[in-house]
Order: sequence, then structure tokens, then C-alpha cells
Amino acid sequence: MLEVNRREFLKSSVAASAAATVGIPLTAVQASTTSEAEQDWQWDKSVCRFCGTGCGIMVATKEGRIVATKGDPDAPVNRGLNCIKGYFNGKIMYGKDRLTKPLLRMTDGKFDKNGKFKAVSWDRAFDEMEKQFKRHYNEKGPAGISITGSGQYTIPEGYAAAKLMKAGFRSNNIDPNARHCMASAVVAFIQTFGIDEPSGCYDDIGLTDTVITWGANMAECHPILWARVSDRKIADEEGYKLINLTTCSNQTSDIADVEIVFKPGTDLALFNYIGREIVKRNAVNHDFVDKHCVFATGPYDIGYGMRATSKYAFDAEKDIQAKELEITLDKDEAIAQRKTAGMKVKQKNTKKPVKHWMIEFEEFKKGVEPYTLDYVAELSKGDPDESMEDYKKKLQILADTYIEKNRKVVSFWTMGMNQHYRGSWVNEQVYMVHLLLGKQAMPGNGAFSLTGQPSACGTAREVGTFAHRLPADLVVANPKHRAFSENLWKLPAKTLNPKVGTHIMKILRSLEDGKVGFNWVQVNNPFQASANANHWIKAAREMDNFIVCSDPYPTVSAKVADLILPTSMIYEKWGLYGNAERRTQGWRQQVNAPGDARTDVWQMLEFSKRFKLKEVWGEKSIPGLKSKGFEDGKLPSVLAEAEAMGYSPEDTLYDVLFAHKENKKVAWPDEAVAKGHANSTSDWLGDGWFPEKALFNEYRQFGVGHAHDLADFDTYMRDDVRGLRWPVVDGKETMWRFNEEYDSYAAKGSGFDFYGKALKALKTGNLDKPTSKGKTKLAHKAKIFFRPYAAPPEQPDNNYDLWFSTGRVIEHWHTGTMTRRVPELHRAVPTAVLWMHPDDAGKRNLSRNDIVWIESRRGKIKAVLETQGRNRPPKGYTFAPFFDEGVFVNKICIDMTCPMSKETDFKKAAVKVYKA
Amino acid sequence: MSDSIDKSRRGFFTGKLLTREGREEVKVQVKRLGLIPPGLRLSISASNCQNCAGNCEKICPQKIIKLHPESHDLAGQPYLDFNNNGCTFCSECNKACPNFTTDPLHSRPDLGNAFLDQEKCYAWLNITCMSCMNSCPVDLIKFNKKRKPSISLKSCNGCGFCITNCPASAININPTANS
Repeated sequence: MLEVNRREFLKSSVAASAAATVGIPLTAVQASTTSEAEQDWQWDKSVCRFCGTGCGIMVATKEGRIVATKGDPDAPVNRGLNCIKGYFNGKIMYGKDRLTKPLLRMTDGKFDKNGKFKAVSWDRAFDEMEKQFKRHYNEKGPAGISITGSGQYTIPEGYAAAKLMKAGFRSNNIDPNARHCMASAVVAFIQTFGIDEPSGCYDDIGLTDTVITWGANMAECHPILWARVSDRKIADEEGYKLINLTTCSNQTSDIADVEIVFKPGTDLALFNYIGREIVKRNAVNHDFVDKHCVFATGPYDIGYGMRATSKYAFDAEKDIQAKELEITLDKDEAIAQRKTAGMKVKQKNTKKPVKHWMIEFEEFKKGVEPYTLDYVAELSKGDPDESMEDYKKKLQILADTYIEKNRKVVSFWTMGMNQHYRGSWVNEQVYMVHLLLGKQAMPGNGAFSLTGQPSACGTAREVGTFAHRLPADLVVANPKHRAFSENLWKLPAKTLNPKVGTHIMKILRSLEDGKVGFNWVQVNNPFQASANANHWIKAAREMDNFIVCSDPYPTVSAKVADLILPTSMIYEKWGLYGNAERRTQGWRQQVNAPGDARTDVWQMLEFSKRFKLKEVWGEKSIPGLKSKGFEDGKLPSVLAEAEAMGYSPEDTLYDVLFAHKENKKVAWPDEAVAKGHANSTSDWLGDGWFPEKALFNEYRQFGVGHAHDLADFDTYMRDDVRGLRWPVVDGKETMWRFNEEYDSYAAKGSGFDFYGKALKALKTGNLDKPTSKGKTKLAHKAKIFFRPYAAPPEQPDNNYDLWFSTGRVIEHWHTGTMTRRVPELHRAVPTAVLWMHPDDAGKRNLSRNDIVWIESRRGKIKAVLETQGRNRPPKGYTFAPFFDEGVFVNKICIDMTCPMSKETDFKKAAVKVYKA
Repeated sequence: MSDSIDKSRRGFFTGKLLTREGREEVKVQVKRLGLIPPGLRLSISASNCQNCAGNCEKICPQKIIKLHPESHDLAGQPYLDFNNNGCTFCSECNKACPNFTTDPLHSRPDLGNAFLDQEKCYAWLNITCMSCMNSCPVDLIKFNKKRKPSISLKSCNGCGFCITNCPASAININPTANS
């Protein structure tokens, strides 16, 4: 009887969003066998739309439609392999409910926030958008408008968005959903190495003898990389070691030699246990550390990235939110931080969580001293059914494996470490271990941060579509970086806004408290993908704001918007992505978009035509702006200087930022590159240039000569190039950065050279505080951080008695916008289920396939209960993926973030589960 | 037989099948569309199922019992369709059948054995897939180290849940002798 409920539930929960794509020609099944039917297919190289692995995909078109896709056998990343999502790339564009007309909420022919969506022309759509934008912009200034972007932007898209916002509107309120995905990794890269992104590459999988995964279910979430790992394992069962550290037993454990199930948040303690063992066993690689590293630490009282006011909180969430101001140290936290249990600690450093200072090695040793095997094992053991003795043995094996002298080790991690209330700390800790051992930046040795989105690296990070960033690791707060960018962009001095903008979680909070009145959603679905969603949906619908959503499908974000712009998808445009190993890859437009759907680049360029310099480059009020050379709270008018530079106040942002003289020289048609392929963006603009190529080539000037060198556009489009790993110097890619042997930026004779320039002058001090006045330079060195264990602010208690974590399943990509439109993928996993230990289910009188309520302090949702299969949670732990808008997981997740990176912790909420 | 197939194809191409005469002239479908619901092997026949109101179809809590369509040689007789769900062997269909005849061979709930076609299965075609992993109520689907699934047949009763989620439609139930 329960079964019928399940099926009914599945059906009702998907009816709204998942339409079958009937009548689409077969994909790669046909591609694997040659037949007559295929003779007129046009094959071209391309890239997978989904994760940060960056697999090469061959795409076949016929008569304006994609007829097949297959793994690209020439792509070094995947060597012809595909995961189940990648296999269906060709079908994602053909969902029945594809949007083909701009849709505006209207009543009686006029815009009405409470009206129903009506199809309108692009002109009508832009008219309303312009009117609403200017209303909020003129009222609230550049800080009152925002773009929520994505790590799924192509490079030209992200570049156009960042330039339009920062150089055009003088607003830094652009932030990507990549903030939710790898911002913690970025903070750790910048603080540790002074430059973003991994030192190693995927070749390390083949070259190492040990893979240790931390909070990364690679088997499901990076399946092609995992295929490379498991192929190595099968070839060398004895020698090649795998250790999987996780909070929930998963598929990645299946071929692991050791699985360590730990309690959420205690990874912080596990790393310090390894650090302590390295010190105690005299295993510090002093040659490496003395020459290339310094030690550092920072404050502990940095809060949890929650709102500091309870004004907007639901009653039930107020107790946890109060911890943003003050916490009481529990027993374990007190030991970890060398303090007394029960002590109240005001969170004094929430405004400056990133500050840090140098310490001596002796201080570092003091820091890790409390992290003994006994203490860490008691604190971190995550499976109540495992014996303490067995668990301790595993921790010792973990330390042994890292430390073993001639063993090469690669550590991989993803969202378990990034989406963490101390995500930046725990990222820094993995470098701490690798640097202490001197096992970093060399073939087969290194800590490697895996990425979630296809261009989180290539666009969000490298282009800098963040509230604080400019291209190529430059930041808005640095006057030299602003001057460099203004020069390259041919902007008057002081056009760029020095005040860091609002990060994505804060954009949503600012919609709620009315500080932001305009939001443009691009290439993402923030209203489904952001934690504590009940707040943001209500804010979007009820506050005085205007939300534009560029989307190919009616997602949750489209449905809460006021204006929906139908948008071209991956193979309907030219683009480039950058994957997790610094590989930049490009593709041509393969087919045209349906109906009136248009590319993001066209949308932004067309919208920019509606702004004259005099509207945006006059004096602007920026509440809270304090910066040397600027009047408090103000951006100066730069119109006079603009005129001196030859601009007219009547020039549009389109003329100045995009279709300027240099870019117009990049002509379309460009048959040498296009080889018969169309470019819809150029056709719609109709003024004879090639925006994607022009924007890319303009953008690459930021990185050339600054250790971010990219090749030019045409190189990436070449048929014999399957992406190149930057820095690309003299046409040669770089496999291991900072290593003299492989990286031309590393100084000759250095051996290793951590040449990143950011944050390379620090005060010195002890574990508690900086004690020097002046700063010491540490150019060419990496930092080894001591970071303590801190307890998760929300933990299971008597009322909400289970851990809850969200994440992905192999079949679906993020919020399911694309994969849920592929009938095969939808059939495979039609809805999100809640995984729970069978004994926990039994205790609650629940059985497999029951429909249950999952309730947290922030909301409750229904899901089908699952007690077996691919995930096997320990007692006390539950997991449900977030792809399914019918099982709206983010209504229950907590919107706490790492205070340094502002990346949300989707992994540590407390819930109760009961029968629905 | 081959003659009738040719005829039907011709009929199809000339639009003949769209007319009543066409349908009557050509008996297109003779192959059973799915397994007989468990326990009903001796209960259903051309004569007694023709006039039944389709109780088994209506009562099935899983909604997996379908009746062969009018144009089919087995018109009115029930079969199992696993595309949306599997069988829990609840016997509601047996209780609802007006002609229910106890089947002495049907001593335990059993429809057959699941058969995984390796030529269709994505995982066996080197496409990373694990969609059947959750589906088996008794956890009989195992993946080897090379990430390829196989179904342990020892206690498989052919319930069909694994069919429901397979994106490649690579699983079938081979009926056992007594079903």
C-alpha cells in the first residue's frame, strides 16, 4: 500500500517541472555504430555542460538539430568516456517546456508584480527592464542593483557581465552561485599561495600511489575522474591506496582500502591530528618547509556568516542565529582552542575574519598539541556502530599513509570541505599537511581542489564574476588593481568602485531587507539553490523589487521573477569553459536557439545600449564606501575625464565597453574559425563583429605576463586542440605550477617558487594575536596555517535529532533544470529521496518508501524515505539531494556560511523526520 | 506469419490500420505485452477475461496491471507493465479476480528472474551509470570494481522494480516455468 503512495508522490512532485522530450533522435547509441543514416551528420568538438571535470564531448548535428553526442576520444580529460549525464548532453535543449518568448508579469497590458506571465517582445521586455532598473539605480545607487551569476557562465558571458556591472554601472554587486560551490577553496588558495587554483592536474591520478578523498563522493559527483582513479586501483590493487573520508558511507568507499566515517565538522580536528603526528614523528620536511614556507594563524571568533540581527528570523531559528554574536564553548571546542569549557566567547572578528599573521613553528606545534589520537578519535568518530579501537586504527593508517616517506599522495575534496562553516580553514589545513611533508606541486603529489561547475574556475574565478574580484586574481579593493583594470578597459580613473559588493547570500538577504531592488539572474537558479529558501522566495515576491531571470526553462527562479528572458543553451552559442585543472576549452555554435531565445551575451550587450555615460558615470552615492582617494560614501563623477579621453556623455555603454574600435575590428563572419558554423549573437547585433572572440581576446590581456596567461581565442577553437592548462607560455601549457621544472614562472634555481602575489606581507605574533607593528614580507613563500576545531553552531538535539546534508546524485545536475528534461535521466531518478539508516527508520516506525516530513528550524518538506542503495548513512545522519524542486531541500538548509569565504554550509543542518 | 507481417506493414503504410476494417483484417499483435500477474496463471483465459470488468487492473495498488487492448489477440487479459513501478506480491489482484483458480505451482510469490542485457546497459557500455543501484527491494544488484552491475539471481522474484529506473531499458524479467 505504501508503494502506491510513493508512485503518486513521484508523479505529483514532478508534474510541474519535468516534461518528457519525446521524439528526439537518439544520442550516442547511434554514434557508437556507423550506419548510412550518419553520413550527413556534422561532428564537431565541444565540452560537457555539467560538472567541473571538463570532459570533451563530440556533438553531431543534422538539419539544425543535435542528433548525437559522444565522449571525445581525443579529449585528455575523459578519453572518450562519459558519465550518464554527459551522455545525454544532446537532449538537454529539447525539453517540451523550453521558453521561447520573453514573459512579463502583466495585468491589463501593464507590468504588475502580481500579474500573470504574458509573452512580450524583446523590445517590450527591455523597456520594462530599463525602466525598473533605472528606478532602483537612481533611487539606491549602484549598490541597489545586482546580478546573480554562475560558474556556468561561458568566459565571454562572465566577462561581459562583470564589465557591464563594474565598469558600466560601477556596481560590485555581481556574485555567482559559484560562491556556494568553491569560494572556500579560493580563500585558501589566496591565503596559502597568494594566487588562485590548483598547482597540479588530473595527470596526478595516474602518477600518484595514493588518493585520499575528503568530503568528495567522486564516484557520483566526479565519475569520470573516479573512473581514472579506479582504473589505476584495479591495475595495482596492492600498491595504489585509496582512503575515503566522509560523513556518510557512499559509492566512493566501495573500492577504498579504508573508509573513515567522521562526525560533521570534525575534519578540522582530523587534519590537526595528522599535523600533530607529522610533528611528533619528526616527519616535517624541513628542507622544503624552511625554504618555501612560513607558519600562520588567525582569529577564531569570526562568527558563522549568519545574519547578525534576528529581525528577519523565524522564531524557531533565533536560538542558532544568536550564535553569530556569542557562543559558549563546549568541552571539545575548549580543548581544541586551549580554553575552558563553558566560556562565553563574543564573536568579535566577524567583520575581519580573513586577517592572519605569521607565527613561529614552535607556536604551530603548540596549536596542534591538543589533537591527540584519543581526543580526536573520541570527538570525530561518526558511526556509532563502529568500535573505538577500529576507528583509531584507521586514523593511524591515515597518518601513516600521508607520512610514509616515499609515498606519493594526492588529496581530493569538493563540497564536504568547501560548504563548511569553516570551509576556508579546512581547505588551508589540507595544504598544511601537504606542505609540512613537502608533498605539493610535483607530479603525483599535491592537494587538489575539485570543482563543481563547468567554468567555476574558467569564468567565476578567472574572469572574476565575484563581488570583490576583477579578472586574473585582481581585486576591487586594491587601488593598483583598479588602476590596471581602468587602464586596460580605457576607463577614467576612479570609475571602478573600491567597495566590495554583496556576495550571493547577502544579495538575497538584501532583497529581504530592501537594500537591493533589482536583481538579474543569469545561468543559475538561486531561488532553488540557496539555503533557507522560504525567506528569499517571500522577499522576491512581496518586496518592492524587480527580478529578471534569463533562463531556458521555467525554473523556481523564473517562476518567482517578474520578467523571464528566454535564453540560448550551451550548443546554441559560442563559448569557452575552464575546468578544475586550469584547462580552458572552447566550442562553436552548433545549432540555433528555438523561437526568440537569445544568448546571454546578446542580452547584456543589447541592454547596455540603453545606458548613456551621463546616466552611470556621474557622481554616485555608495553607502559605507571608505577608501583612500575617495570622498566617504561617494563615487566621483568621471564624466569630465571621460570627455577628455574622447568619450561623449551621450555614448552608450555598448559603444564604450563592448563595441569599441578594437573589438569592432574582430570581424564576423570569420570563416577561418567558424568553418560553416553560425553565430547568432553577431547576427542579432547585426553590426559585423564577433563579440565572443573580441571579448575573450580583450579579457586575456589581463592575465598575459601575470601568471594567468591564456592562449588566444582561435587557438582554443582549433580542431587539434583539446584545451590548454594555463599559464600557457610560448604556446606551452603548464602541468605543475610553482615547480621550477614545469612552470616557467617559477624562478630558476628555486626548486619551488610560490610566486603568488596576494597577502604576502604579514605581521608576526603568537597563536592568540599579532604582536609586531610592522609587516614582514614573505614573497615566494606558501603559508602553513594552524586552524583549530570549532563546533558546528547547529547540531542535532532532543528536538531536531538528526544531521541533514544535501548534495548531488550522478543522474542530475544541480537544480535539475536540464537533466530533469531528459526522459532517461528522469526515469532513472524521478525524485529526490531521503537516505536514512534502517535502524533510525525503525525507531520512528518508518519503512523504506514511506513518505516522510523532514523538518528543520527553517521549514519542512516531504520526501520518500530510502534506507538502502548507493548511500548508507550512519545512525543519526540523513541525506537528500537538492535537484528536485518538488522536494525543496533548501527550505530546510541553514544559511550559515564560512565567514571568510561567505560560502554556504549545505551539509550541517539538524532535522527531525516523521511520517507524513 | 511472415505474410501477415508484410500485410500489416503494407496496411500501415496505406493507412489501412486506421480504419475499423483495417484493424479487423489484420491481427497485428499476438505477443503478450507483459508477464501475467502473479498467481493468475490458471485464472485467466480468452473466454473468462473478455467479459470481466478488469477488476485486477483497477485494484492493483501499484498500478502496474494493464489490460491488452482491443486490437490485441489477448484483448482484455491482464499483463504487468513495470515502466512506472514494480510488483509487491500483495495478491490484491488474486482476491479481485472473479475466476480465481488456485495455482498449485505458485507456492511462493515469483514472477521470474531479472535479466540484465549487457549490450544495452550503459555501465557495460562504459558510460558511468548506477541508476539501478537503489531499485532492488532486496538489494540484489551488485556493482563490481569496474563499476559494472550484475543481478544476483538466487533470490530474485522478478518484481520488476529494477526495470522502472533503468534509463537504458536494459533489464527484462525472464519468466520462470510456474509463472
